[in-house]
Amino acid sequence: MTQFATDPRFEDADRFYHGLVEASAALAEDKRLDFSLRLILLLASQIGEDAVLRECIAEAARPFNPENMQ
Amino acid sequence: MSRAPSLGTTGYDLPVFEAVVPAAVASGATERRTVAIVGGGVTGLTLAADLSLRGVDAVLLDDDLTVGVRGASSRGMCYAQKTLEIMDGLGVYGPIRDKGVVWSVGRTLSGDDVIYEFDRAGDNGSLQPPFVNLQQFYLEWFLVERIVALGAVEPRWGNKVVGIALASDHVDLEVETPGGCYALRADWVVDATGAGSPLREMLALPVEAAHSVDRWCICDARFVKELPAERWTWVNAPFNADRAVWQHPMADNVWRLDYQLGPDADPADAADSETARARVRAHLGPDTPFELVWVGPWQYRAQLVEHMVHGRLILAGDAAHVMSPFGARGGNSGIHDADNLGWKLALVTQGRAGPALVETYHRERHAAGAENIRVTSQTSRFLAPESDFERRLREVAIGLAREHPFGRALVNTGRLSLPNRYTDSPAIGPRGGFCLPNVALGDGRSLAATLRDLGTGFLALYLDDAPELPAAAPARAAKLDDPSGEIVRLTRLAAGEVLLVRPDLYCAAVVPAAEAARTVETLCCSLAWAQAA
Repeated sequence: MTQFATDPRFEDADRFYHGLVEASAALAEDKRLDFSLRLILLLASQIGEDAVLRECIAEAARPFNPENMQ
Repeated sequence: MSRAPSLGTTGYDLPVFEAVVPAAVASGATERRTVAIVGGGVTGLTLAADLSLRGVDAVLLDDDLTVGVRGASSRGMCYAQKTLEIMDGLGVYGPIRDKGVVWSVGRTLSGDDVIYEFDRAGDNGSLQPPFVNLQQFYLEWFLVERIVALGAVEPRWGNKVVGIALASDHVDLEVETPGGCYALRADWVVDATGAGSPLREMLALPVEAAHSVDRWCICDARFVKELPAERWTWVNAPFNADRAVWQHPMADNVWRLDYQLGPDADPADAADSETARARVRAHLGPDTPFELVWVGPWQYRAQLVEHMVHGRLILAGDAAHVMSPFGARGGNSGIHDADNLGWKLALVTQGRAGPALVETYHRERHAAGAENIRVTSQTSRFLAPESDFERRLREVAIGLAREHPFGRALVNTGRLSLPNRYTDSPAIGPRGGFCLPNVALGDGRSLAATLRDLGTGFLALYLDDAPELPAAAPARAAKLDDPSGEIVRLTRLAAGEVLLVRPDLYCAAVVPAAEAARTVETLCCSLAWAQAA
């Protein structure tokens, strides 16, 4: 069972980050958002657990919520 | 060796060596040597000191009369543990530690906040610290003094190679000196002439290169201020228009301050001393007096030769591979090249290993070069995003890093030099390929010193019963006395097994005692093995 976690779990964080950079650089600018969304859905399906996914959505949105705006 | 007057703008007193005019200039005879090292930078000097200690006939040719790349402008300054261990084996670690700045803590900042930090102290049982910062020319100077004291390899200053011809069992060089030219025929030639190698050019050897558009400007400054002896890197510094800044302490109260410039920056303007002064003033604040020691704008490239061994010509250091400096992998990897090559050349020229052993230098160090280029290129790209997508990706990664540990793993201001792992090499056997730390053994001697005591050979360490090794094999058995416990932990050496340690402190293999002798033969690329290859 996957838990919502914020500790480092990457086998190779730099390689993942660079993979994102290279994949985006190979796309036209107007395709990069769609690419990101496809990637989110693929990664979400790897996780599966509904509770974890809802926590991820809440944490991703948190800085943009009105109560957190400075 | 004479001391020169101050070299003005460099702010340092550097040695000036006398040009050497060998006897062959007057006699016109072709000089014969076993090894000729071309280029007296960190790579060539490390190899010269190493071959001196291994009793290999060699000569070092350098077209300059001092240390550093044309004086103080050489820019390497961070030496990682493996390099310091190598220097310990060569007998120059003491002066490096005493002159340099020992450190272990690095911090990455965004704006005014630290978003990531590491402390590499106490990682392993090594007698050397994680890092020492020191201007490159000092390291070179200490090596020159050591080579001169050892008296085996002659450094020839003012000797410039102007011609080269490869043959199957030697290399012919034409060398120019202030007194005239001479011909030198060496069994092996090592090209350590740096990124723009003239030897490589003369032979038109293939190189794969990629240039970056990211521009930086080093402003080395001497000042006294209460700052910790740590590596600080800003991804985006408020005092540098939200671009990256590096801050490292070096010897003589000089700090390496390195500023990322805007994409359209004019390098000539960046190098202007008033512009540089304003940049440093904004960084240090109005109350810290400072003196600019050296200012130099720079751009980086990634470059890798196809092959590092061409018959009897061997490429090492920047002549073979060039990378962005993030992570201090350039100078360190050149030194690691020399450390990898020295013992192999010694065994081969002394007839104790097959010539194919030299080819394993290419296998191991070419893979290391490619790995170092990959790692440093990832950092380069993080520091210089090329699209709006990348800029925003970086911004959210930094935002996550401020709050969550996992995000910190994504913030990449350089992954500092570590010994590369070697796989797929004939000089690596079962369970080998990784580097052992330079621990103190039970008799108080370091692992590096114990290996040096052998001359050149493998150390066959065991826990209970000694393996049988032929007297002619370049290996000596010793019962492992490992007070730190690190060697057993890393190698999982068990009773009845033997750990073969290479002269460069790599674990070559862990094998059953009965297979030790045959494994040494295989690792040395015995002549039978070489003919089959």
